[in-house]
Amino acid sequence: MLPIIRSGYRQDVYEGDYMEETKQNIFANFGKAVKNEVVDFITTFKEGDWKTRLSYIVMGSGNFLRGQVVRGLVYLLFEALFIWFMFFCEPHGGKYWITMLPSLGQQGPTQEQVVVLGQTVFTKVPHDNSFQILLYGILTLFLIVAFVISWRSSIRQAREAQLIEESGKKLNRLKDDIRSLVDEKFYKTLLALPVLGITVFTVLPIVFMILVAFTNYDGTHDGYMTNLFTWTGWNNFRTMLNMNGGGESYAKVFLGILGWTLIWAFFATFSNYFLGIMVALMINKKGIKLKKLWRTILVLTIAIPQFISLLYVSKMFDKSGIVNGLLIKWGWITEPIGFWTDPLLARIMVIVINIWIGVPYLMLIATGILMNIPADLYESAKIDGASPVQQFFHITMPYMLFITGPYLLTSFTGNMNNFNVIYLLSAGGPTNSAASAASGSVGYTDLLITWLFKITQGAESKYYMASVIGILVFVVVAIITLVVYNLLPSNRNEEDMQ
Amino acid sequence: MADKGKRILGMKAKNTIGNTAIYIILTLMSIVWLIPFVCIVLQSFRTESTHQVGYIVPTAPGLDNYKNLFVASRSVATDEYLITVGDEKAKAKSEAKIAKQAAVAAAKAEAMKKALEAAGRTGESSNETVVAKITSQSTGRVLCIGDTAEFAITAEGHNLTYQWQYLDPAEPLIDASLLDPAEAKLARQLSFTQSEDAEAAEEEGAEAGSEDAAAAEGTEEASETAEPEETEYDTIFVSDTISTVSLVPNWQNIDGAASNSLQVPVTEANDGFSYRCVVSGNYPLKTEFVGWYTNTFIMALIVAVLQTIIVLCMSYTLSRFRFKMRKPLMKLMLILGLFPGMLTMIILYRVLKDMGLTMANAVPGLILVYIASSGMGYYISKGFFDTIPMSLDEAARVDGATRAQVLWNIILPLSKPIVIYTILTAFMGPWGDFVFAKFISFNNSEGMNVAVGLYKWLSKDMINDRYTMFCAGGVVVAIPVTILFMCLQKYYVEGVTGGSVKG
Repeated sequence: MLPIIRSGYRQDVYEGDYMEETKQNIFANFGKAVKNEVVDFITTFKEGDWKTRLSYIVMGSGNFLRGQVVRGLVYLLFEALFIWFMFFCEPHGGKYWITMLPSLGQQGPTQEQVVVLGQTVFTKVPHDNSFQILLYGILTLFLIVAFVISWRSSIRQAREAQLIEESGKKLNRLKDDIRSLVDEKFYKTLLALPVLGITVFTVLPIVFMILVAFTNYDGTHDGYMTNLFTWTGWNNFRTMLNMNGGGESYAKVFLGILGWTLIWAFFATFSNYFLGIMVALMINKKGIKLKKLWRTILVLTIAIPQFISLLYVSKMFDKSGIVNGLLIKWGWITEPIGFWTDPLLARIMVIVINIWIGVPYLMLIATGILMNIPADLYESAKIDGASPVQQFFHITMPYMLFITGPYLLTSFTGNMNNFNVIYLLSAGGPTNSAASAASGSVGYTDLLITWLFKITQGAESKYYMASVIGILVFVVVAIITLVVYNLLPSNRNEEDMQ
Repeated sequence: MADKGKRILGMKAKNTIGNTAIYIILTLMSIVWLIPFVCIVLQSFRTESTHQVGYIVPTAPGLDNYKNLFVASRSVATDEYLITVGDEKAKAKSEAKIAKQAAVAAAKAEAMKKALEAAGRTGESSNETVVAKITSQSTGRVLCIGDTAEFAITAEGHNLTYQWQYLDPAEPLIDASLLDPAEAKLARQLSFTQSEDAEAAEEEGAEAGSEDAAAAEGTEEASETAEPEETEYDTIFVSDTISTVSLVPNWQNIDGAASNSLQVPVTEANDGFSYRCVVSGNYPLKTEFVGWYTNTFIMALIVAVLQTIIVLCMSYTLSRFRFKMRKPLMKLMLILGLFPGMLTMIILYRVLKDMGLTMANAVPGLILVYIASSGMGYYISKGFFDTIPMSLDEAARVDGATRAQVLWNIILPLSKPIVIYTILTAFMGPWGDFVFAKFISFNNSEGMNVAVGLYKWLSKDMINDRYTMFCAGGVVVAIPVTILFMCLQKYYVEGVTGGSVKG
């Protein structure tokens, strides 16, 4: 969940409304669309005049020659830029990136002598750059796809312009185009920037990192100054999932961490959920005074940046921290308790402290939902003689579960990737020495996401392993999301609650 | 009648018991919720030099930690200069040698710089303006009896005071516990500045490297000593509980020498003496913390504006328009959202590094990262826009308003809560971000945000000195953010609950 990790605040997201749309088969109409495209493509050429046919080679000419000057020029400019980038760009054009992509670079850095004032200095001189080749290779592929799409659209536009001209109507000029960009085509204007940002800063990096899983890109193969990196096929996945690797293979470490990640996500989600609802019920109970005060005190943990509160609490439970200090002072214990050194205790601690951080958030949500439960449900229940406990289990909880089903799901997957709480509290510790021997430093409270982070740190920085983990996290989260979403009551029997 | 009254009374009594239980639970919860915050505030006022984390209540409360956050009252110990008395022959020889060394060092520095430039590692210069550097006419030279060793120091800052000191080779070390507390504190501050200077030196890269090389090659007579001073002072901690017995250099003050230059007649008596100068003064706006704070604040402001615009564009479009790519786009973003975002960090770091937007320049790089994919977080505000009836749009469209006018004149005024919610969360984001900031600032103090900076203070080798300052820093960070949050709490709650009720 990108937003959650990024902000440190719990901006959980609600995917419900269009998960539904995802359920429709993406590929259903695909074949049909392709067929239509081909047919349209051929008819355009058959029926087009020379202006339209010229657009097959010179993009935008169909528009340009019919008086849509600016639109035609934009297409033409794009085509010119594309050709320049592919073949004439210095020092490396698109052709270079594409041809280098299969090998990710031929010549690694070499040691060369530089003689300065009689003193010989050795310097490393880099040549090919695997990282750039992979990155720009992907970019070039993106660009080629974009080019094909705009080439296709220029042909379609040429045909449209021809048809409009033939029917004797007036063609859209620049002024009309601009007007439509703030009116019926306003969405294009609004989406341009966000979609560009997402493409460059999310889609491209994710594609890149997926590909990195098939290379040996790490600290000693940075593709530039140390060594080039190259394709290794499915090797990394084999290493990660190979169970026969002896005592502590990657697979065992992975399964161990995955297990704890799921346990953590389960407890972190549901402890917060139920406690949050209970607190909300208590605060909102009729006759309870100072509602605002209680709420404000609890909400403090949302307001104060997590790194302060979590780091501080983590130090409170340190061996030389406040808690141990006080317990020793009062004579309750003689030796400091290793809250962060005992594996089981550390795991319990992160779950308990997560309650401190998460309950207020759930309290806010639950408050909002509780207000919306129709009062007549409770009144009729009272008339039927239902006790408050019965009311809670037969009205409040089903209603809450129904409404917050999708939220619970996103919160579960969000907790699986909850970097901040784990890293700031325990930094993944205490160290699991057996697992660490197999695969870098691994601790008992490490989640997959913190493991991923740790693997990218230090001199070794096995980026390829990090990206394998990232892909596996995606697979796990996607499976959970798909399976659970189809089981949700709000998805199955929407009519029941209404 | 009476019976009914009794029943009501009974119920009331029962209710009161229930309510009392709730009050007790809520009070206990509030105490648990508040304890860490009370503790952090209390500890931020501790002035004792103890590094024991376990003490809560300050015995001598003071604002030292807060002051240290903003105003660095720094003492800079400069390089040490050794006077070695030699004869005239040695003097001439050393002079020739020094000239040669200087030429070689310059050439090396040039070559190193070129190599580094080839590697693309330059362009990360430190803008450290607090400089204290001894320049001496007699530097690096063998001195003879009768010569005068002249030291001069150039330092920038406010209210500077100079204290010249010498180290007698006959009694070089002293038990640290014998120092008086004030002096111990100075030594402690020295260790801070030393480490900061070390960082600055690392950043300078090329230059520092060549200097070190020159020093390492230097002859016995070379007066510059490039000793790792930091380690020496690190042992000085006069704490309440542990009395550390450790030996530190026995620097003696030279009385009456309080200007920025010192002249020492070379005699047989001071053969082998080291001289140094301790410069103390205030350098406001030079503390790390102020840098982190400004970084974070700038990021928060810019991100709040740009991210809000992007999120609103995205969510409004997806809520109001029906176009061909709408569903594929939403599906794509849903799938992208399932990838751990941290994964993208590895490549973004390399790309931003190539653009020169990491380390010291991490702020623009981070802003770019924060806002670029913020379109993905449109869920909540889209849910809000969905609740505004389409009939409003349609009515305006019938009256001849364009889509842009509808957004600007009709939808936005109605969307005040969600706009404020978006601004608030976007503003709070950079204050709490840890991973991305850590990645991109890459251990460079200049590019850090408060989270990464303060996390650094809790690292194993710094926590002893900086723990109470961390508390103070945390309070300083938390207060404005918390006040803002509390003021806009209403909108936050609306956003959060609105989103979840939407489901």
